Amino acid sequence: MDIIKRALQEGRTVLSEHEAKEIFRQYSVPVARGELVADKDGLAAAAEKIGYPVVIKACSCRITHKTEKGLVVTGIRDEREIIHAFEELTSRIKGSDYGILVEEMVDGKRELMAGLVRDSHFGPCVMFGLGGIFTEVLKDVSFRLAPLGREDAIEMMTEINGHRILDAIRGMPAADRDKLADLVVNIGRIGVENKEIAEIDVNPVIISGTDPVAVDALITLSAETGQEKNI
Amino acid sequence: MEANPLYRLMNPRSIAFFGASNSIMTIGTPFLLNIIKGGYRGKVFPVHPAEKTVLGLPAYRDVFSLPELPDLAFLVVSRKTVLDVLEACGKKGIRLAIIVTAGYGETGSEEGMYSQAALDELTMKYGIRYLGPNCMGIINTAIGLNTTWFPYTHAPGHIGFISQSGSYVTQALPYFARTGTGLSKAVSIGNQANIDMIDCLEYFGDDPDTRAVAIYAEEIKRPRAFLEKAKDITPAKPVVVMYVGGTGAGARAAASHTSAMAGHDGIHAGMFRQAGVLRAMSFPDMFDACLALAEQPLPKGNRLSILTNSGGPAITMADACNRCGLELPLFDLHTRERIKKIIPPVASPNNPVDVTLNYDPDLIFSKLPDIIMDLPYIDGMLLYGIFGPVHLRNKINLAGDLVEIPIDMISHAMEKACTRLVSACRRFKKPILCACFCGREDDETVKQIEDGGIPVYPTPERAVKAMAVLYRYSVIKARHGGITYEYN
Repeated sequence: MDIIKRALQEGRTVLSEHEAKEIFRQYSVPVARGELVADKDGLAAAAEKIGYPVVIKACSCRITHKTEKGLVVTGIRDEREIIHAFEELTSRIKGSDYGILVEEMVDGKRELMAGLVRDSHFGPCVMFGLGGIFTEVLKDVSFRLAPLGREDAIEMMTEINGHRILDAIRGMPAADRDKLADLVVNIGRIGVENKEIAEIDVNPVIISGTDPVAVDALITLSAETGQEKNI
Repeated sequence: MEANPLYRLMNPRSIAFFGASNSIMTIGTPFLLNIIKGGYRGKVFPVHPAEKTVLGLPAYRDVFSLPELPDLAFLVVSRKTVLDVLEACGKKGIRLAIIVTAGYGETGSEEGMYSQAALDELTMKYGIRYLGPNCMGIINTAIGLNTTWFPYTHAPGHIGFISQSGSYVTQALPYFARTGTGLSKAVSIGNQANIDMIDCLEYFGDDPDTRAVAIYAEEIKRPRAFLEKAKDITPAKPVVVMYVGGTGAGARAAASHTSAMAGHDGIHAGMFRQAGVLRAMSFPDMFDACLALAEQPLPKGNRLSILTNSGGPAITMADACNRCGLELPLFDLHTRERIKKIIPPVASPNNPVDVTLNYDPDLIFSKLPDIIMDLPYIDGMLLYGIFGPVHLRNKINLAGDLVEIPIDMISHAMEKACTRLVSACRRFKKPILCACFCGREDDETVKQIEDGGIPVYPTPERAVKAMAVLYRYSVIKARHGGITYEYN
């Protein structure tokens, strides 16, 4: 994959969110619609094209855990707000090697997560579970070895303690488990087909209506281009 | 593809034994004693540098003096001499070995690793496949072969056991006997330097004597191969693993949530599920599950009935069912009326059916099971209330000639009713599991029921848990496009 090759040539082990999402798109993993802009000038036009409300995020391979660092501003309703948000956000970053990712505001209360880890013993393993702030607190997750089948992914969903979050609850429709399963299966495919990828984190995956959307994305690479021993 | 060496290793026609003497204090002697006194009918050739006979068998000075080429070499010799013995075996043409000797890779020491590598090199040279080192060998109950340090005293059964711990196939043997847990075969895999867990899994998947596979594992060495092999087997044969996390994942840079949470236990759990392998959290759990899986038909659903002669244990069972996802449907009116007619007036005709303490074995072991097991909305039965004649004999001993108890008549009636009970699983193709605080040593009725193929667990909850495993496996089997073997 060109994105991965380029990053490794540049001596990087982390892809930017925009790059990660580009890979997701190539593997049919649904991501929030968005555009990367270089500076203040492109903001309004991009937001106009996507349609308010939008989210802006600092986008750089140097920056992880953006929310904790105040580098994500959500719920932006118009041009005035987007300029204000931009200034607030850029004041918190040192350096200039970043872009601004303008994205649609994905609407949904249910946050899940999917991920991949390349374990030295097991090879690529896929994880699915509760996302957002609950990921670390509840550790309600399930694993499978990749590649995995749709049936396996469906089973992972019934396995987490909080599986009822996917049912029709509190006026929300049931999540589309088939689409969610495809997302998990495809995350596994990315790991199997790209041995340089060490880890993938898709957190949160927001259930928007019935459909899952990858809202954040982190991909890290390994310099030892996918050496797998012992498996 | 090379044939799996276990087919011959588990069924050797002859064994050359290295490391036994005429003293029981020699570490190898009890192994040989078990082999020759356990019912094995093959030929055994003790090799000893000085003795003319060992344990009554003609002894041979070295492997070249043997009268024929044995199938298997069994080594309980010092680590220093292992290579020499194997080299001689290789030259003689022996191609299978079991190496009990320890002090290899398991020590983690450089010397141990070096010794294991030397072993690999030599066996490769002669094409020898071997079990171990650092293992206890094998048990094959069908041919009375037990190479371990403890005698196998229970009847042959249908559980195949693969153990990374030698103790679990030696020191646990009295546990199997006490709990009526019959093994088909067992393999102590030791360091798995050559023949490993996956070879065993493949062998047990194919073995007609084995209906359920138990695995004790501290490490799954080739996880991808394990997954593929287990996936092949579990639609046809249940596999239960007790995994106790050996290797730690090590500290990882936690850039991603996924990585931070990928503890090895979580990945193992996921892999077992992916493979359709059931997981047990303790030794009794594993064998409770395997016994039910090996001996009883699978339920078609999760709707159970409880039959009891006592309130508390039945309520405990009902509560456990509730927590295990098993349902207890109420009986229809017609069935309740039928039951009411044959049970005492104070007894409960609904599910659970409680006959209260009662000396009519025909009622609890025959008439009621026949009604309950026949109900189309009942998938299996849990029974508490085995009360053999031994309890009356106790009273006779206490009473002397104060009372008259027709013990022979009761014993006979009990035996007849139990025969009917054990046939019920076959007649209705539904599982029955029992619980009783008395074991097979305490109560001959427990023994009769167990020997008839119905597991009797020492507590009500354990019977329910085992039933829940039967149900869980039926779901796994259905999902993986299950293959059904007919036993009996």
